[in-house]
Amino acid sequence: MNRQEAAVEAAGLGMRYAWGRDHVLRDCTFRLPAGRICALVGPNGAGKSTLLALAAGLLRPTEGQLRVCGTTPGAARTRLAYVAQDKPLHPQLTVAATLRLGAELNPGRWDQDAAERVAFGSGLTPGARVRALSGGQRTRVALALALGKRAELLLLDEPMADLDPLSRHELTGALMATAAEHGTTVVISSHVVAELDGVCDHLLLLGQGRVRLAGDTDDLLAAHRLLTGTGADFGPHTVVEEHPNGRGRTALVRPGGALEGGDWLVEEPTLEELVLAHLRNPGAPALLTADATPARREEIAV
Amino acid sequence: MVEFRIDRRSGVATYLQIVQQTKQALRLGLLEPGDRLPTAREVVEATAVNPNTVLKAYRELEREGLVEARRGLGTFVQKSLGAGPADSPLAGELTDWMRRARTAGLDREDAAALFQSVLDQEFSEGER
Amino acid sequence: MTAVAPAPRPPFLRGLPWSVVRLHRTALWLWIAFVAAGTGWLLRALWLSAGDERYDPACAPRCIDPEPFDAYIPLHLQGRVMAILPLAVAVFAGGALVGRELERGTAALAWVQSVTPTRWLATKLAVPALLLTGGTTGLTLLFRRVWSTGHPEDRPGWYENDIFLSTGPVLVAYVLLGLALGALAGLLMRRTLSGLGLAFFATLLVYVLLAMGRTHLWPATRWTGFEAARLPGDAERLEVGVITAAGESVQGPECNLDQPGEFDQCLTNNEYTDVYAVGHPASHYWPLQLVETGIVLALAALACWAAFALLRRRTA
Repeated sequence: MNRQEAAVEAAGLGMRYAWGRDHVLRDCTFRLPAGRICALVGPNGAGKSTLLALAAGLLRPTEGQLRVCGTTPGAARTRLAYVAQDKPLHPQLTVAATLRLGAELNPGRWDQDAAERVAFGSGLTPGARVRALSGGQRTRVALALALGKRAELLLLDEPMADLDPLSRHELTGALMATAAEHGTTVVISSHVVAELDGVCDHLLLLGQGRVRLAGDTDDLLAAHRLLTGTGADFGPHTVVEEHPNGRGRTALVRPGGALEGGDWLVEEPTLEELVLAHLRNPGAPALLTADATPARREEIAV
Repeated sequence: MVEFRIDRRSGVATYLQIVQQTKQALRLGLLEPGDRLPTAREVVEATAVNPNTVLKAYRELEREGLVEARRGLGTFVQKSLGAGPADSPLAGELTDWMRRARTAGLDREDAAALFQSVLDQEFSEGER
Repeated sequence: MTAVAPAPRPPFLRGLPWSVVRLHRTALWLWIAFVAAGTGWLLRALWLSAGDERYDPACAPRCIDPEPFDAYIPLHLQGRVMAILPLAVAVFAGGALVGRELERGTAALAWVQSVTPTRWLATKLAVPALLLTGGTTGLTLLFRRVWSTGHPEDRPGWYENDIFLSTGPVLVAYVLLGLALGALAGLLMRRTLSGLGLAFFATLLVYVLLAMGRTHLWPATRWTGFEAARLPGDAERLEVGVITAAGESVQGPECNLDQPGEFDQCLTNNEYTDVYAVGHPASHYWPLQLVETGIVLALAALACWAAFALLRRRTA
């Protein structure tokens, strides 16, 4: 199989912030092929931000390996961009000075035009002080810094939370345009999967610090079916979640055999149903599709 | 430049919406052979959908022989679609069927449900 | 290609050093103002003392003695201000330079540009270190010049804490120590307030401990007899006393040397065999300065090493 290069690969990745504290991430193994737009989804506290910070080289994992753009996160620093959840910026600088900072700190990789298009899209002036910006405007400037640095991998931690619908549409468009033009891999975290529907073609679902689902969204959807019927048992299929429905039952299953001929209605679940079912049932086995499974662990060892 | 309207709640896959709207544009004469389709970049900038979805839709249109991708130039319309098959023999048969259904006592919803279930049965999902 | 070169810039400052200067512009202006004000103050003192025979070292033992100490008030003031400088630097480094950046997450903002955390910290330390070393060296040289124009009998003693610090390289070392301890404290605390607090108290602790132990940093000289009874005016006197008939040194009792007869009588009356004194002559100034500078620089290097080790352990 001709596999695309991996933008991010993790094997047995674990992280805890201090001895004696609980693991924020444990035994995470997954692979993100290059060029994908990946939704990193999970409830609050699932470890999304920690995973992004690890990939950005801001933290050092306590266990396991992580490779980004084929190398260590530290060595991939010039090739990735990251926007933290709280959009840290220097409040004493103007917007123009903030972009200048991006230019100075990314020599040879800076695209001033791209940065200005994003920053000044909605009437923001270069002379505006960062401390006086609204939440949405801060997001704009933070994204401008990230897009100005022509990165191969964009790591965005809940980037759209502060944005009004118009800005959200416009900035998502800008993001997608960058991805279309340069083949950038994008990881966007969110706790609302619906927000990313249609934007993402890859899903990484985290629950309680573990990977629950990883893979191409179409592949993941194809691997699951909603069965509704009055039959007592769902046969050879792996049941992720089931609940009573009238006189019968409805179940989200991973088909383990032929679905036709069974005494039930077969439907394709939505991405949101898939995500919610897996989060409600931590006992259900995790599923990684083929292109989301790393090669053997030794091969990705740093 | 033709525009695409993506409805996330329609339940129709995004790439299919692009395919259908392109065909619609061909039928309406918004696009003629030789016209250039918007680039993936232009589409995603305007619609904020995944670029791979647009590329998938364009590949689909190309497979059907409606458009042609020219390296480095863009994607161009190859042929137009007729103004709709309203007067084809098939349409006549369907009209006959609808009339028979009405005389058989089916109301509008019954007929629609029946049509839909046969449609689903004969045309598997994703097929065109 | 859409890459556009940013606006023209002075070629001598770009990249990370530019960002450090730009982000701490207020601190830079404060430092320039501090050095300028100190220089002005000291030059004024120099100008006032020029031609005033009270300050003339050549006039021995002294020319006139109206109220000698008044004339040294500017020097005392400036000495005190300069002695506080390392603490102010520690507060700046622990707070604004490092602690606040970690608290706001703007340090991480730099680390996800094309800047490694190590290079970030190195520049954060190097740029202020350069400016602080330059300014402090200038100020101490000028201070030393002003102080040395004073009459050796009247001017504040070289061993007084503020004067000792403000006249030699040891102040530069303390300023660098404040910077290094500040960076370490900021990294440890990751908060502005606790960072600057820890930096202040850590620097203060080193300051106080070394000030208390300063006299032990170089072996003191022991004088006996006439020399002990009449120490030079610029010697630091640590201990004076008498030697009893049993050969014991007893600290405290003195015999006055003013009346020649009285001194001998004092010795015989009390069955003392001699008087003694322990202290540092003015010639110990440089050994003391250099030993303390060495210790402080070593501590600063240790703090730097710890800060880099901590940063490297935390980030990838």
